[in-house]
Amino acid sequence: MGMTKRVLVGRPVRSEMLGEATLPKKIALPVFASDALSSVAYATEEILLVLSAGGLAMFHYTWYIAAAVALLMLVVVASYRQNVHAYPSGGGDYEVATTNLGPRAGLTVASALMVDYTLTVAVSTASGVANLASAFPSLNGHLVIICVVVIAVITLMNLRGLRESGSAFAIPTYCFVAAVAIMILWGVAQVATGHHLAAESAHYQIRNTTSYTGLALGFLLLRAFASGCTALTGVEAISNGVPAFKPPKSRNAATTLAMLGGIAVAMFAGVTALALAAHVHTADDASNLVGLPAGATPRTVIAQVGRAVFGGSSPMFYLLQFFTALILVLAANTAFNGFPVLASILSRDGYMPRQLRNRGDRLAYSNGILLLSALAIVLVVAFQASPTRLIQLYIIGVFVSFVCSQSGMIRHWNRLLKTETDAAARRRMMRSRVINSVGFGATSLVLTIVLATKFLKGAWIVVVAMPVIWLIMRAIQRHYQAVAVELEPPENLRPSKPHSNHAIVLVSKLHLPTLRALGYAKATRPDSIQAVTVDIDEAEVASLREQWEAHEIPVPLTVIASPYREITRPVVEFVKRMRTENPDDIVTVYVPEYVLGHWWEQILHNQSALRLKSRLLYQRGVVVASVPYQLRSAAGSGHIPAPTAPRPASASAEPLEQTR
Amino acid sequence: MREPVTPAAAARKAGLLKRVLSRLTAETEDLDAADLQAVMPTLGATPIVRCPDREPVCILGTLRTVTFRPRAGVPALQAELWDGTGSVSVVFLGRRSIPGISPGRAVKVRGRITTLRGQRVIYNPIYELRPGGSD
Repeated sequence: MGMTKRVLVGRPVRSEMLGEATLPKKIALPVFASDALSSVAYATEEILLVLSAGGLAMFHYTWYIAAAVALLMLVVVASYRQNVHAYPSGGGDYEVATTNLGPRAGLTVASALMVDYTLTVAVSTASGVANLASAFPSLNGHLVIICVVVIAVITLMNLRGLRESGSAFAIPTYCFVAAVAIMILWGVAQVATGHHLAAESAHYQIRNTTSYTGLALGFLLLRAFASGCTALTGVEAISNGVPAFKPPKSRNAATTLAMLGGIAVAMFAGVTALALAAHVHTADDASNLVGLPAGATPRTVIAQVGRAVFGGSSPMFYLLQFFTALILVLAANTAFNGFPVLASILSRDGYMPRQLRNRGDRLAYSNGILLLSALAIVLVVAFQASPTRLIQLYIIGVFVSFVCSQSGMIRHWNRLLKTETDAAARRRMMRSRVINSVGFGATSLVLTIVLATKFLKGAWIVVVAMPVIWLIMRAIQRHYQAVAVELEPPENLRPSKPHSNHAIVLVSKLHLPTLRALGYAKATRPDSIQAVTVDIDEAEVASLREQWEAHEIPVPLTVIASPYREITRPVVEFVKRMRTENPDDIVTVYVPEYVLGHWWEQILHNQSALRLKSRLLYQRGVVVASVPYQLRSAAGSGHIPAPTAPRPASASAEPLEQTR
Repeated sequence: MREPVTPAAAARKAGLLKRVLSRLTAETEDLDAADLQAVMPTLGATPIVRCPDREPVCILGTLRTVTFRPRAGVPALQAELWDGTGSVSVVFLGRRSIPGISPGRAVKVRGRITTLRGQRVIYNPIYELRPGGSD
């Protein structure tokens, strides 16, 4: 077990190294931005898929929708730059909402983000694998299992720690950006030189379309816009990850955000433009595509654009597909950075189990990472790794948290403006407030659109899941609170001493563990001591008594009757009676226990002792003391030296060490 | 709880149901206690809770525990006698063990009962081993 872990996770890292696990901008950009950048790979496609319901004629609206998404992206990035400066501690939206709008709003953000982090992993992995399958169509039957394996690998890399995964993820992200940039430039150059780009699907027609007019058309366009908004996910990842940046943390994070916004918008616009120029045609339901060979899965839009620009068998196309798949997989990694940090903050505030707060061997929040991975795998399996179906659940959470944090930021500036007197600072704050207000308006509008258009398509699952998570976290917090109140010591804090301490040593046979327990019990100088055995087998009790007499053990031996041959109950009753007779006293029950090396040996022993211990725990004023006796088999595991094992004579070099 | 129509019939009905239920749900200890109390009057024994201090009494019960003192100390055999209403410490001074005084055994003791540090005690009682109990 220990060795497997060492091989997979690596050597434990000392706590002092914690400060070292920070990222320079050039690494932080790919680590935190791969999510936002990777959505370029599917955002265009999602817009086209929705529009396809209205037929090919609808595709000319793509431009407007893409422009709206790009604009929204810039607005959100600008708003988040304010957040990063104002709240650099990594609490992100959760902290902003909690501080400014109260814990309920903070919890709303937290549950929304948790849902979305999980979906980020699921959507990105599913989409990445789909892109891989576009390059290698033979993979199409095994998408789910590939997704699960990919998630497992990402989990492992994250368990190894942030820094190492950071550098490993930087190169592919840059390669993806480069590949897309080359594709866009090459494609634009071809178009500019009068060359005609044609996607493989350019001649496909779409069947079974409805003609949309008036309100229905508006609704369709809004739905397309809502789907395109997937491009915005991941922007908040940076604001949650500020502590991972090299100092000056806030400035570096803000700069990275700006770079991210610029690159993402440029890439999204480029891919969309090329998809339109090359007449990429795709449809929600592949059977509606006239011209697609029967049974074939249409390639992803970015794959079709790549083939149109570079040619179907050129190495550049395969490189592009490879890096697209890779960055999508790495996008899942952003969530692996965000979710565990969020979970640890939540657990610090008592909303999540305490275990999520612990850093593992490699200073990563191992439990949070494992939790996220498990949830994502469940989602991927449940939705058969279909990006289009998963995307319906996506981005609601992100927009809920956008809206909460932006309104929180407006309050933040309002509060600061009340006391600030310096004119320059006031101007700066006013400007920030305007930016955040615009962000708030835009994101809440989009949230409404997304909710309205996606609800029936599967978003209701998220709408149900978020309040459930919210309630669970509230319940956890209430529980922790109640426990804390109960444990709160009174004003005159003084450890009170029990009136007297009565020792009971459990005895079944007179052997070494029993003798050790008796000796230890006597060493604690109790006010009274007695050995106790249960009368199950008369012959055994008789022989125990004989031995007791023969060895002149100076402790009274009490035999408890057990008319129904039980062990636990008579002892518990006996201890209870001692308690009721002396209410201020403590009864200490010493239980001799064998310690063995292997669990299968452990099963054969101590069973009644364990049961007794668990029952006695519920008795007030009773302390259970385990007196362990390590058997020879325990020496191998647990690093316990063998109990006075006679050494073989051949170990002649030993005595030197023993004399020390 | 809803009001019964005729109190007597309802009480009988409830009584039967209650009796059956209580036989099923009662702790074995309570059942043992009931058994002991049932035979007590026929043998002239008094329930421990009703024994007045410093009076000679007759108690019927089972020995719940027997404590053997180590050889080093003052010889005495101590046992806890339980009769379903309470328990009394029975101490035989000068004896290390008495054949028949063993855990689970039903005994009838006669002696003067008293209370020492909150614990009821009878010293050196006249004892009579009864059939039943564990052997």
